[in-house]
Amino acid sequence: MPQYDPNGHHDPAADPGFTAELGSALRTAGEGFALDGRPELISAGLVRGRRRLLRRRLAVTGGALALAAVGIGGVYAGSVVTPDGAAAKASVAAPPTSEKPRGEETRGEKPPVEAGEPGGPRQGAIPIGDIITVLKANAPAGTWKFDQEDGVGQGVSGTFDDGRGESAFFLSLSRAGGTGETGAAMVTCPDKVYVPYDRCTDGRTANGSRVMILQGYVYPDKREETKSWRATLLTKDGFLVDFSEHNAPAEKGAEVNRENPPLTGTQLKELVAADAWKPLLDLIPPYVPPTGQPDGQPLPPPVPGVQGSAVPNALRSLLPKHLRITDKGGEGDFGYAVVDDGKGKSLVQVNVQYGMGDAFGGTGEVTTLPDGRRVALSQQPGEKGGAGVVWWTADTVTPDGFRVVVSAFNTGAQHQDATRAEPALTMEQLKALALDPKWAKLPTKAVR
Amino acid sequence: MRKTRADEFLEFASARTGQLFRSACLLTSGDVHLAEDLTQETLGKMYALWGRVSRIGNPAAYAQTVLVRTFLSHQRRRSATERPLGELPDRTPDDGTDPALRIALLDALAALPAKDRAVVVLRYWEDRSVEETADALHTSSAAVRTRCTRALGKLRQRLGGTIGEFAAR
Repeated sequence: MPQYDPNGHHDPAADPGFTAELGSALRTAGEGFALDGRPELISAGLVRGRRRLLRRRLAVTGGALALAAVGIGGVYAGSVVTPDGAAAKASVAAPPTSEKPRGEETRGEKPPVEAGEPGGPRQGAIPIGDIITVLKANAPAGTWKFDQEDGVGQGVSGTFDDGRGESAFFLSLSRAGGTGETGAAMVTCPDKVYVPYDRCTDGRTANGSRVMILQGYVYPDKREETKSWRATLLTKDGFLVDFSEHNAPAEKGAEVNRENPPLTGTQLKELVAADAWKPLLDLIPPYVPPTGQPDGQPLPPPVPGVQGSAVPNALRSLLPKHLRITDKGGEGDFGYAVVDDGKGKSLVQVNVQYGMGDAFGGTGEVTTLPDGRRVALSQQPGEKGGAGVVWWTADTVTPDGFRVVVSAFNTGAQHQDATRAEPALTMEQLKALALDPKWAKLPTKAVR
Repeated sequence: MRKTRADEFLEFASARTGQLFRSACLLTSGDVHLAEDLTQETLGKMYALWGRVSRIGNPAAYAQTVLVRTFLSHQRRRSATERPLGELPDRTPDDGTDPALRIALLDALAALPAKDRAVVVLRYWEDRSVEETADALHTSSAAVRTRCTRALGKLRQRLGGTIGEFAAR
């Protein structure tokens, strides 16, 4: 067998003997990882999928309806549905909702659901079966299929057929966020500039709840003609009932099978405004304001996060102007740029995170600024295998846990060998970059 | 009667989770806890995408692609936020193969940059073509070839003749 030449003259990828052996060795090693004893992987995956779907549906159907609305307490903070196993137990343990109203029996006592557990996800333990009962009782006659029929949660999805074609629907029950504004945005017709729709009305019901009926489309650009009709109700005590329906058997990826979704605007309004939701809404844990307690108790769960490309864009704008950016990327709370000042590539990374007071690295030289921000500066060897790589970091955190950590390397990629003696930014520049007020001004939304 | 999304998904997941998990174990070079997490995340993404995914030709292959992308995204974030653990990942040689050989291979994989490891797993575990690998990684065929050559060179340096023994088992 030919010897491997580290200078690269021999291409091992072209050596069928070695690659065949490698494939075989990988299979032997891989097959050794048995899935036995890990059946929970699938149910856990299902739970994650349902949460993801719910987030996406709310965000999508919400469109420009102030995405701030995702500050909604329970739905975004915790899981919407629990694993079926746990759910079954929970519904056995939970008293039937036909008992006396929850709000009255629990005043001053332990909350009905394990809500206020600080630092942990809060979820409404509403029996899915009860949600389905109320849904069916307040909608026109037809055939329902539900993605989930047992367990507990805060919403249900599936399809409904009034005889003229299956329609995907999605229902959620939640509490509006800490401020009235977030809920109000959910029931105010959006500007047509941002969300194209055929018709939208907003107003009040007889008992003072606010309600919006929006008849629009799944895709704002209408690249597919799937309609999205949605009714959202905000009660005076801050609960949201949200129902959306489509003229196709799936929100996305299914052919349109009818001209309009089945429930009319009037029927949508009657459904979300039904009194029967009230006892179910009362099972949703109270909203915990998103600020730390003065006594230093754990931070509440819904933590804001920067979305999309805001961090990479801000990084680009804040880098010293003499640096040429050869590559950039990142999303959410993470951004990176590969810069070159003419002396070689240097990778710069930033993370912008809320609720991170307890995660402050604090290695190296730590100082506290007059405003209470802590700053840790460190220089250490790279850890990804590149020869001679150094990793310089300015880690900063405010007293309320807003953390900006900026790192720079003397290479364009951590696993590649050093291209220069030092990163393209000095420690002082990294520190200034991390402390820039712009990071705290990036728009956020509370997403798990 | 049409199956619900959950039914269809569970059928798919029951058939594919084992393979996803094994791929994840190779990608993480034997860190089974991280592999479990990546597998769950991948299943979650597949569920959320199910309406579209179930209509494409090969959801199983698509799931593997999602897994690899999830892994790379995790690695990228981790590099900026986490400090070295200072301990070896959890490994469970529980199947009767020679643990030393297995660990040698996993160690050799661990020494590769994450993206190179992904290339190796896609090319030689998943048997994807260079072009398919490039698609999965959102990169060019040339970049895949370069990574592949470099990764195989490193693996060969570390494993030498051992790999033949391992493969023969």
